[in-house]
Amino acid sequence: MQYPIGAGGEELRFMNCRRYEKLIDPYLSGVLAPSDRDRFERHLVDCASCRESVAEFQALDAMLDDASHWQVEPPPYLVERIMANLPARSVSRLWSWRFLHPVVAALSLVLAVGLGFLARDMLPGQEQVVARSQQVRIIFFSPEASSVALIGDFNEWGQREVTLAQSSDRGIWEFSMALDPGVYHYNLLVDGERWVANPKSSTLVPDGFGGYNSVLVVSEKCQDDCS
Amino acid sequence: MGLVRMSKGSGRGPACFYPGGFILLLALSVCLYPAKGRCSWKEVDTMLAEAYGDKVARECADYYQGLEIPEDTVPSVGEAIARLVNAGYPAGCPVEYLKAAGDLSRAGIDVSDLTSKISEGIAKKVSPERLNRVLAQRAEALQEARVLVLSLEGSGVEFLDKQMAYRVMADYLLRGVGPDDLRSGLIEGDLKSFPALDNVLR
Repeated sequence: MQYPIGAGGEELRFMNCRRYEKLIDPYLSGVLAPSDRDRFERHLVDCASCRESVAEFQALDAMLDDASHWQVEPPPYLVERIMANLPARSVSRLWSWRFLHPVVAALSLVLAVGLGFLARDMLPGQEQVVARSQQVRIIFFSPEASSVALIGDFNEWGQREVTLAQSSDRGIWEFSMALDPGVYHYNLLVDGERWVANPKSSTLVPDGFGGYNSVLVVSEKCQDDCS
Repeated sequence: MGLVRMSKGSGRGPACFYPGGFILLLALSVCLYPAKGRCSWKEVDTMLAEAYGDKVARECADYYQGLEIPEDTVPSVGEAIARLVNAGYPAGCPVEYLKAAGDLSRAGIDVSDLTSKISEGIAKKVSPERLNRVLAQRAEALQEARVLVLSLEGSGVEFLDKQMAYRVMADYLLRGVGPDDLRSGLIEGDLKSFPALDNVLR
């Protein structure tokens, strides 16, 4: 709704001025459309209050432009006053980063060394062998023997102890143990002096020393019986 | 300004480069640590020098230096030599063993078979000459078995584990089975005569 400028009472003028006040800043910035600028300038001719407002805005702009060139130096006591009014530090000096830094560095060194050991064992080329050991049972019949020992590659021919379940009943000597996949040669040492191959073994090979070895192949395929 | 604060050890500065330092330390520790068993050759060298003198130690060193024996196998090789030394075998045995082990390693064959043979020979109290002969025969059979396995793979035969296949093949070869018989048996799938081979085939 368009109000006639200068043709109404005080209330109508006040309403007009409120509308025109919003245009002061765009007018001074030079962004008003020509038709609005003409209307606004016609209003200024009749309205002393708006002229006064425009003058105030112009003075304020001038002052702000001028202020951008000011060089303000803070008073020398400003920093001291601010620091004096800061709350006291709750963390003790002992735990400040400056004192903690060497401790953390030492701890990280220890951790890195530990991880180094761990990583060394996991490097490619030193593959961890996943044991898929299988239970192996070896049965040997020798009624006249007073002792029978199972000796072979799995215990480095008697140089190493292996967990071996052993039982004998009426000349039947039975051994059972867990072995990883592999090819094992073995013999039975009867009465501590006679090396004998197990005749029940499916494969016998010459040992090169004048006797025979039994061959035991433990693989993923012999799930039930590797004997 | 920020750089000055960092160098003074303020709260933010060191934290910025700390993860990088940690990674560097980790990398250094991995690189600087000797791998498992790497120093065992030195122990073997000392042991041989003490038992047989510097000349034998040097001869053995010529065999094992530069060999590509896997590092985790070196301690067992060292143990085998120690057993020979402790059992009173003459210098020719460790020399023959290292020579054969070197040849096998270069061909990518596990030397544990020979190592076991040494333990077996010592347990059965065989003479040094016989032990040396068996070691040489065994090494030769393993090399022949390797060639056979590789050629069979080329013919489409699949093995579960090549090292196991070498050993089983070598056993049959030493038993007098001809390579052609093994080859035809494996290709035709007729393993009645070679039951141990069935467990190494895929």
